[in-house]
Amino acid sequence: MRKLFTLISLLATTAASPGLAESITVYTYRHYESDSVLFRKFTEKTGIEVEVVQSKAGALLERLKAEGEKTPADILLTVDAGRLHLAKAAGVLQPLQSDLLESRIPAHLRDPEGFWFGFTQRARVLAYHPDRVDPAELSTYEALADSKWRGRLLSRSSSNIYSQSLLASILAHTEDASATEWARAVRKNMARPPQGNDRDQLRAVAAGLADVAIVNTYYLGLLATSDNKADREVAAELAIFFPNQQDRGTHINVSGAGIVAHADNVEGAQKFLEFLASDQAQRIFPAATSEYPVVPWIEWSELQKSWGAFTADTTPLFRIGELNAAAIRAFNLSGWE
Amino acid sequence: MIAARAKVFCRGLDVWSIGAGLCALLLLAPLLAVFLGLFEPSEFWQHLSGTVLPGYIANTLILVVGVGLLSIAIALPTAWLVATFEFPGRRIWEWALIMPLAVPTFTSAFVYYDVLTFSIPLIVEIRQQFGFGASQWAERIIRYGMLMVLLTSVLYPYLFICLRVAFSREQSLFFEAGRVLGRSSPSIFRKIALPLARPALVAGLSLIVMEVINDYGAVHFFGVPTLTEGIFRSWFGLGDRVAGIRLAGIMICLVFFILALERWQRRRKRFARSQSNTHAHERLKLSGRKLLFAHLLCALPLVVGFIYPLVKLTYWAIIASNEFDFARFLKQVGTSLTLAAAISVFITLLAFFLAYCTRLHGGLLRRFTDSATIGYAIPSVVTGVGVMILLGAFDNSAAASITSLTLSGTVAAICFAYTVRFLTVAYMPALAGVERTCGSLHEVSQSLGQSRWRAMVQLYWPLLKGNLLGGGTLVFIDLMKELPLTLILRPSGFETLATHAFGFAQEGLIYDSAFPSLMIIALGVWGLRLIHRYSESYS
Repeated sequence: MRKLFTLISLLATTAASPGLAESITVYTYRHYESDSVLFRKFTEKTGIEVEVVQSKAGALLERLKAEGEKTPADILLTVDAGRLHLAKAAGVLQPLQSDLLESRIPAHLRDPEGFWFGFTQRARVLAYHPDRVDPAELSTYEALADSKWRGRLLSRSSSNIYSQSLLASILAHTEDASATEWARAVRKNMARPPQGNDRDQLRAVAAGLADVAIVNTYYLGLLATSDNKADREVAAELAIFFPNQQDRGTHINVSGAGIVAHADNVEGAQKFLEFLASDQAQRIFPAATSEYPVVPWIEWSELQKSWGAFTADTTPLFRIGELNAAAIRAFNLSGWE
Repeated sequence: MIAARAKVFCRGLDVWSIGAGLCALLLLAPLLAVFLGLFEPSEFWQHLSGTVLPGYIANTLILVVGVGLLSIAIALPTAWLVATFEFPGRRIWEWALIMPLAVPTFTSAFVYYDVLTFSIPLIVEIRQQFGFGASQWAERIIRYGMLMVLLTSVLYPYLFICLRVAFSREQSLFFEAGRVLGRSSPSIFRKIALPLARPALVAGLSLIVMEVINDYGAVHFFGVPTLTEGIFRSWFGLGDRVAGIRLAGIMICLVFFILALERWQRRRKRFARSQSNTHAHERLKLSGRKLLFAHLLCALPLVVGFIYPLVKLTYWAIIASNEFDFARFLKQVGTSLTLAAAISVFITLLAFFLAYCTRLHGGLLRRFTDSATIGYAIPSVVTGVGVMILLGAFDNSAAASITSLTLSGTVAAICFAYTVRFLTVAYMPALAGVERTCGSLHEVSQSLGQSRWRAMVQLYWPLLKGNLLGGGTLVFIDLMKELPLTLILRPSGFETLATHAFGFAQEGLIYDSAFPSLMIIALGVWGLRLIHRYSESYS
């Protein structure tokens, strides 16, 4: 029996004791191999080891809530401001005052109280097939509700945070009812019910199922740099349009991070956040994941340059986070699955 | 009256019943922790029930009915064939038809997702010929149909196993009586075998139903939001835990409703088991066109559920092999194997202990331990979060600060969750063994004055070894395939083969996911082979 107890306590402590070296524990939703390169670079630079727990974003938040003061996490790293806002609202993050971060990251890409900071940007754009769509036909997200697009659009499901944040950005500039109406009309114009990820929408446009897909820029980047020849061909066939250039700009969102409220190593966590905003780290993103850097003077990748410069919607992202629940409600009412 | 009952209850208290009762309580605790939250106010419930809830329920029912019917269509004839006819290759089919059980549903979903991409030209064609409305219907039919087929192709073995055993073991005498009375084979099937196999049919189907409504990976991939996906959306998306739990409640009601319906339907019929297994019935020989048909019938589910996925995964693995990180992969194999093996042994021993205790005490304790094995019917995500809440509460309590023990985010937390979920897989066979094998032996050993401890070790253990091995191996296979619990609860750097495969696929590195998937399948097949051999030598 005593052996059993020893075994249990051994099991219980294996994960909790990271060893002698200083370390931080990162709860991350991002699942890119390139992030491990980034973490290694951080360790090389600071000597601080990075322990990683990768899971579904919502599950990480529930886990932080349940673990409370005893959480091993120091950093929450996740995609989309909507998620970061939920984490802040749940009280699992703590504010950080860092002149360095504030000087490098534009104000609309971070929380005004310093609970979280964006480190990469992605734009939600329209990918279209040039044979079937004249770019002059395209203008704004709102214009996709027009009946001329009946059976010609594709998008992923409303359970996805990217869809939700796009609708939240529309909500930020209009009333609830018209946003629901927009979602209903766009859903009606879709060539098939929403399914799969952004990559699948791009493939389907290339295969002729529809003419325009609402996608994040970096997905086209992933296809263009894929090992798979068929995927590279898909990327080569399609073109990108940045909507709403004449008014508020194209909707962008961030991958971001904040320091966990009950972090053990706040200092290490701050170093980590400041590392993510450093030139060294920011230069990695464009090439590795086709995400845009947040620091304005970092050079884009060749592929990103080929897509062209664009005006981004500068609605503060914390506002998009606040509107997340309203966006989900509007989607549910509209019938966009 | 109450006093008398209390007296009986107190007399039943001893080390065994208290031990079993505490185990059962511990297993139920995470579920109770979740369901206590059921009565808190829910911010979004009214909105959800007015908008998306009917869709979730409809999708769940469509899948349950579709996969259930397809499984019957596959498992019933094949089980009947291998159990009652004799033909060359029969013994191979008997075993081969179980193999798809080793393929996780999410792997099957990755493998068959291509079909949706390949069907696009067809849908475009239909749209040009018959209009937009028709193409929408075609798309829906292809997607839902494909999803049902792929789920059936890896889940039907549950039903196949139950039916095969029922056909070949229990009813041999009835078949012969039928034949002696001059009934034809189809008539025996309809009039005798089918009604008698009903308990087996229900047992197999209820396992399949639970797997279907618990599935997250495949339904998410195919864009068919069911109640499970609804839980993820409302809980993790809207942050409304109560709404998520209420959806889980609906799911569990659905399971119980199906089980109750069956029970009500057969309320007046009794199913006596034939006691004699020694009298093996003679199998009818098949030849000619019928033989060819039998082979085709057996080959179809095997090709769809096992061979095609295997070929495709191997092809992907070859493509990926150039740049694949084998050192890291081997480490994962090690972790996955050790963990699954250790936990399945633990779960099996616990199941044995609980089953033995219920044999000693029966009654109230039996009902209590039975309800503690409900974990399998509860969606994984609910169990996972229940464990999180429970251990989090412990870690932040006084008990934890005295012992300086932290349980959240440890391997122990995952092990606990696995036990809650999979105990029933080992408990059911153990219980069946205790009840059937040991019948009156128990009374004999007691009257001979053997201590309970010695009876457990010397009498029950050897007699139950077969059941325990079978149950334990099934737990092992389930653990290898397990995904949601591991994803939700794992500590830092903790990867199993399943999370590895899923992670690659999520990143779009579908080729790299082939190696871990193949490994899961290989280990699963090995485990199934073990069970099959043992059950053969046993019978």
